[in-house]
Amino acid sequence: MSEAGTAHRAGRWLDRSGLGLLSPALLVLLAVFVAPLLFLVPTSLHPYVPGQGIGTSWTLSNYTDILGDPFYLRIIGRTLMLGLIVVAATLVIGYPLAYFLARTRSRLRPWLIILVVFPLLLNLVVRSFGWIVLLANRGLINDWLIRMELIETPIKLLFNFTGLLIGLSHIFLPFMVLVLIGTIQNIPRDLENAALTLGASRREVFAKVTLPLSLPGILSGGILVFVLTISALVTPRLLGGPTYQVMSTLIFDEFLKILNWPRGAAMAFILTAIVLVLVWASSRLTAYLATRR
Amino acid sequence: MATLEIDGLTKRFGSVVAVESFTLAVEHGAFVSLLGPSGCGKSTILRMIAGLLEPDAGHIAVAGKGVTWLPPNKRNIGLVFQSYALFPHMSVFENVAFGLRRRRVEDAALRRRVGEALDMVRLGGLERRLPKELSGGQQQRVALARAIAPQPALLLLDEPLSNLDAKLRDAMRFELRRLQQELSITTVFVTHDQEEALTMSDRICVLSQGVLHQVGTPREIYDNPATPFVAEFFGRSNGFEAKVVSTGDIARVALSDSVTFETTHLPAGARPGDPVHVTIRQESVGVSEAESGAGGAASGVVGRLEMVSFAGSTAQFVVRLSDGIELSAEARIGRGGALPQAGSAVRVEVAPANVIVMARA
Repeated sequence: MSEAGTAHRAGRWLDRSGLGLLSPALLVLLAVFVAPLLFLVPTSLHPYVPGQGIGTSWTLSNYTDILGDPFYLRIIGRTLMLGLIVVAATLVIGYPLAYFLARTRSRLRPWLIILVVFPLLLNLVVRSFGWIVLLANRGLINDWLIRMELIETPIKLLFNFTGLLIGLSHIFLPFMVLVLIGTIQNIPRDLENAALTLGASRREVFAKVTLPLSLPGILSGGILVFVLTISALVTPRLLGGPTYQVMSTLIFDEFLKILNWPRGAAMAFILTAIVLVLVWASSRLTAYLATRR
Repeated sequence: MATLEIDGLTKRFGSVVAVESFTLAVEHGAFVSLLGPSGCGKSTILRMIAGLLEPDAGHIAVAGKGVTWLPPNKRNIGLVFQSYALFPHMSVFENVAFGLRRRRVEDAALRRRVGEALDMVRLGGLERRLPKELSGGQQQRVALARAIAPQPALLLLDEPLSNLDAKLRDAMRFELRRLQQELSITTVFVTHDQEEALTMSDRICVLSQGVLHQVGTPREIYDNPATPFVAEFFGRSNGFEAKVVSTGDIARVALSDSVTFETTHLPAGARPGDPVHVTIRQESVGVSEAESGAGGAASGVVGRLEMVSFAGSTAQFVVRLSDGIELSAEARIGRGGALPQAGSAVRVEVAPANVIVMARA
């Protein structure tokens, strides 16, 4: 086998596999994403020696410390719960909106979709400050509620779970809506009409036809929003304040404030593992749903 | 009492009139086709009958009950969509059972009736398949079984055969008609295919641009078209503006100063000089070489053969008559039969019964 022949065969293999097309993106991802991540693997397996930095011996204690400490477990639990509730909130608010936008024949439709995407065009910090102005103890919402004499003392809407929930749901709603619009648009209207002519009420049409057929979109929109939520940093930092922590803010602090890189790296890997498991499970579920089509 | 009564049904989309004052009564067990080119309003009428579209004016009654403003789920009408619209996430059984479940049919009866519906369309044994695991023809049958399982008062078919290949379409035509007669279910069938309408229907409504041109049996529509549109919608035909020359049992119409044809049916009350529309179907035009028909010089018109094309069992001719009039003809030819050459002089003959004359609007 000549060298040219081997190269030729490799070229053909590249063509057939489609990897040739992927390779530029793949190389960039490998260089700027996977490689740094891999450099962190040894870091997470070294001990942290206060005053000196990263030790040279090997240990799993960074992982066992985190997974055995109620403080960390509570923050992991809080982060996952936040993810779930943000997914639920964006789904409940986003589904009717997406349904309307997918089905409307209005000439305003493109503008309405731009309106949905519009928040994404604003800087994250600006948006978060907007929420602070609204939600703070002396913010617009509490002022208004007090002036209407609905409450006497301000409700705490900021620097807690509620604040994060409101802020993150707002930011990630467009992602959910855009994914759902795509899915709902692909459900032929005739299916809903067929169900109607067969005697189904509007509610039954939704429950038996529209909703089951939207499941793949709900699933992928849900995963997208969940992953974005549990890895969001800027919004939780601004709306959660310095004390109300989630995993991403904690990792940030471990790296940049406490300088405990090994523990920060270990936490980052735990977060990554959670995300990978979820993405894997959802793709399996989507594939399963697809075989039923 | 008619099963379906439609009175003055009108629908506009913006300034476009999709259906203009459509009136029709369909008696129990009849198979009626709405026939017309795309955009003639036939599907719009069907959707209004089903309740998927609200009319701007008019009245619809099914089995004597006004349904004009009822939602589709309260009408007890079966509809088979052009796209079949099978629920992709449900098995064949569940698709067919859907309407029965909405009517709270209890389990044993539901099983029996789904089984009966599937047997009727010859799909017994495929209950557990998903729609995507079926061929186009099978999907079409499932859609049909789903529509008839709840025993609707009226069955609507929206071009159900147009997504099937030609062979299957022919077979399904007869099967659909057989099923419709077995169940004696009143059926409204929408199609743009004239042959489909002719072979299947008890009656045909011919529509164009939202206006009903004619209602009648296939034979009436074909033999005695009411308007030029109806006449020329069926088969290949030639249409001409003409004038009446003489009246009587065998009248004469003139397409131009020198080209005239005999006809046996003028519109009632036509007088010499009246402008009329003449339709001559291509298959009723006889073309022969000019010399051969020397004896009957009075009958027929002489012209020059412009084009001959061989199309298997038939041949297409284009003949140019005097005064620039062009006449197309289609003739059956035997195997090895001689064809006149393009450019040769030919004699064109049309039996007076086949010269269809209509008053010009």
